[in-house]
Amino acid sequence: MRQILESLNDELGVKGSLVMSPDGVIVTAVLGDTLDEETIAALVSMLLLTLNSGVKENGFRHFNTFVLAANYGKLVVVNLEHSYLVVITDQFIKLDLTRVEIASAAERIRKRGRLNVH
Amino acid sequence: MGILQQIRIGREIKRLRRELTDRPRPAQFVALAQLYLASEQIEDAAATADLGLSRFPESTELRQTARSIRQRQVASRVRTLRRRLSAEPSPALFAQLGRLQIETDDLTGALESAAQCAARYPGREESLLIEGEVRLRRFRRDRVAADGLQAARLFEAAVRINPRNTRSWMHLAKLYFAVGAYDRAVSRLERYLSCGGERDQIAIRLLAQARECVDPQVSTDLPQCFQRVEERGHWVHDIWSSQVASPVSRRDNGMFLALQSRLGELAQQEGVVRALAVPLGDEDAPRRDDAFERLITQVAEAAYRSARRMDLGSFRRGIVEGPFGKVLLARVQSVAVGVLCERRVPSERLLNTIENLIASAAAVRES
Repeated sequence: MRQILESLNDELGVKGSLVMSPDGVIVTAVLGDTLDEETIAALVSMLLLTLNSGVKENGFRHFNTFVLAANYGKLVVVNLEHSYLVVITDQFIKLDLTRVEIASAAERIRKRGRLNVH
Repeated sequence: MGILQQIRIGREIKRLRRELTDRPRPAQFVALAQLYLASEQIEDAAATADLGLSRFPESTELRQTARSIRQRQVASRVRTLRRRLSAEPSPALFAQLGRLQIETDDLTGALESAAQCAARYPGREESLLIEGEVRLRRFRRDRVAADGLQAARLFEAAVRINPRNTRSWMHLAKLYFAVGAYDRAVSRLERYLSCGGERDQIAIRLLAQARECVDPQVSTDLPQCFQRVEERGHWVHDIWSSQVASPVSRRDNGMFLALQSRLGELAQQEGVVRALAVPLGDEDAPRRDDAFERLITQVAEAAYRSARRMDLGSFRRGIVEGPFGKVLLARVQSVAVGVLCERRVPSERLLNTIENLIASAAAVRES
């Protein structure tokens, strides 16, 4: 799984990625020096709590991907059913192009189908 | 440019002006403005773009043209100012240069101008004012408490040097009002009015509002006020985007009504199921009964907080995709817009449209 994340991080503009459980436990993380994995996982977990409850309340069942674009960067969260792939990119990245790589990485992780919580 | 080309452009300008009188369209305003630009008539280009925008405020093309003309105008003024500064420098010229740089978002350049001004004229208020305005700009953009506090300190220092500096008094009053430090806003507005702003009706109205908000039982903790804005991501009073300090909770202001009506039109587009605008920071609002409205509000606020803490800056846009289709989110100032649409609708284009709608609705409010 680490290799999948490392290869995803090689994409232009990708600053780091991790796989986490819905409650914020990190499965694998490959982040740069400037990103703290525990902080990211905790914040994404809180965000997911809000997002999931809002999605269910509206009768939408679940979401597949969530993209957050801010002034200095972007965050992409892909729902892997029992876990989430989180990708952090810079603000310049064209998500339409990189999302193919992200979707491919998500699919490979989903196929592995197991969580190695450390 | 050769004489023949000048003649050709002159003829084309005449033709377009005639057409504009008969049947004005955004594309013709753009073409005319660009012709003026090509013949170096920047002021005429700006006037044409402004006139076009006043008739077609929602035209993206016109908006972009006006922006690029403005950049050219400012760049040309910056060059002139630099020439004058090297010939006969003065604190006033540094202040003008700094303001132009801030206007074009060249904040680094403005800070350099402030530093040069401070080195050359120590003890003058101009350098403090430039740096304060840079910090203020950043605070308005990113809502980082440290920037806001530093801006306040710099403006306070500027008025200590020159107590008749109305610009600094007004910055201070607005800054304090925006973060809910009403007692301080009142005293700074009083000073502003006594220093030459006594006919300023906006300041008089602001003062009345601020006085109503002051609670004599509560002492203001200034760092806490700024910190609260940083944590929540919105102003206590949205002073910056309107001439009158309307509390952000009000849904009945012109901007919000204009936006709702435009979103109603957007919802008629193919593939769009629902479009909704929500004022953020509406703490006094009754519980939102609409689940979609709750989704927009809560996700926009959670995304804002998360993005800030991850050092990604301010949350601007969001896309939630699932078997239901897509929910597109845009946040501008204290307003969030959510659009539920089918998956085939292009996200980027629709989000651009939403941001333009918010901008043009804000223009309605300001007019």
